[in-house]
Amino acid sequence: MVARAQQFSTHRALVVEDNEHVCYMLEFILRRAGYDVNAVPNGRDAQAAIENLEPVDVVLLDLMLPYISGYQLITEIREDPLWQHVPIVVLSGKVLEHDIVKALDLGANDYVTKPFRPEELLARLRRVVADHERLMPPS
Amino acid sequence: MEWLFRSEFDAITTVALWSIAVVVATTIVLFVYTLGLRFATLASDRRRARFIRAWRDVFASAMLSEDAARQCTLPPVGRSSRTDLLEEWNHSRSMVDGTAAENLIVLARRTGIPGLALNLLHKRRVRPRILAVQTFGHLRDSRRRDDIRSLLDHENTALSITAAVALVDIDPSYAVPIVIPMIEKRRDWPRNRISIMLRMAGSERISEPMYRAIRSANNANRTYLLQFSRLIEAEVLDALLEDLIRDSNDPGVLNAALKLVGGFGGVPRIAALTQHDAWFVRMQAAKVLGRIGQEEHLSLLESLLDDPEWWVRYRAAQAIASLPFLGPNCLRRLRERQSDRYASDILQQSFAEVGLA
Repeated sequence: MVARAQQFSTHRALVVEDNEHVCYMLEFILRRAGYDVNAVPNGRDAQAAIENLEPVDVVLLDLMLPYISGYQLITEIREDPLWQHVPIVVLSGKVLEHDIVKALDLGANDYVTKPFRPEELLARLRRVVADHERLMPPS
Repeated sequence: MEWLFRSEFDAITTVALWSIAVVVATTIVLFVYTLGLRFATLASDRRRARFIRAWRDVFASAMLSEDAARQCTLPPVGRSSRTDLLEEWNHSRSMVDGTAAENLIVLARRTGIPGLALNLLHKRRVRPRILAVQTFGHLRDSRRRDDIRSLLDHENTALSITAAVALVDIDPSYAVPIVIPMIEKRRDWPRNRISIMLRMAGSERISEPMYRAIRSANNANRTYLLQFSRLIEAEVLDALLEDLIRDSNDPGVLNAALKLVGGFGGVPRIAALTQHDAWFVRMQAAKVLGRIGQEEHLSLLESLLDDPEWWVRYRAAQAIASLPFLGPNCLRRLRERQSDRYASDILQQSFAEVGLA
């Protein structure tokens, strides 16, 4: 599966994750799957990335972050004129129904709980990126 | 240095000069020693970072492929790096589930991680023992089940809860009947770790033991245990709440149970609780009726609008505003017919919150 993704994917991903170990692993897994990855360790740096970077193809977002929560970031991404259509996949240890509903209501495209299955995570990323490209073909 | 040995100085000056010389020499030695320590620490940190990076790559590759887990080249592990290896493996293992977790277990067996953990299990210090127990849990090594079970009663909270989580990881069917009755006894166990453990065990496994534990507990323990009952199966939870709301008159239990009500069971009793002596029970009952109440409960909710407690009035007004069978006109008429000023005001506020001002 990874090899197939490697052949076709040249997408850019923004990973927002405060746990250094998890972040390293996500970067490794996504790079192996062919993504060009930018990783930031907190909400403030994520805000700066949203302000300064070109929109990426997908944001992989933790919810419990230093300075600014993942929920707040979802809201800000959905209000940003350039980033508002970027798909957001939440990867969080919060597993209660109301946390998941809140993230999806705010505008996340998908929600994966920790501990996660790497292949499933990659499949979900592929799907949201493909859906996004179908709706908004790259100019 | 010859001047130090000259005899023309008097005794006091000689002592002072010698003292200064000793202080300067000691300072230089300490400075060199500190520099040496600093360089040694930096070198050790760099070595450790290289070691961790190399192994993280191995763990990440193994997560993605069983072939990598079975065949990849393993970086060397020095004696001083064994704890780092165990910690890193446990971090990686706790991050993933499914095939990736299985692959990491395959890799751990190749690496000799079970042997390293076994060496730590019987150490006197608690920290290595916690690491060992966590490792055996993540390895799902059933041969260590009895060793780990014996640690459940350990006085150290971290070791005890780690043992409980590890036991669930190794064999949930065996562990659940043992650890669930312990939850009320070990109030020192952190709640988030209890939730994680129960979630790991799965709602279908924990539902019946949790039901029994809550039913047989005293009121204080029932209230405590109810906070974990969201994790049990919905139909068991509904039955449990119906039983508790019907049979209990303890305000703490009723409050905790009413917070969890989601189904339609036990509505007559819930309606009766709007008249309970404890204001927070009346408030919770009003909130529940706002979600599941029928037309016949409207008068009950209206009667709470002039309750002496502000929160009860407020929640009753919110409940009335959220009743699905009342349209905006009905709600306005209801507000107009209130003779009590407080009732009218609180309705006004609640209606404004939902855009009905």
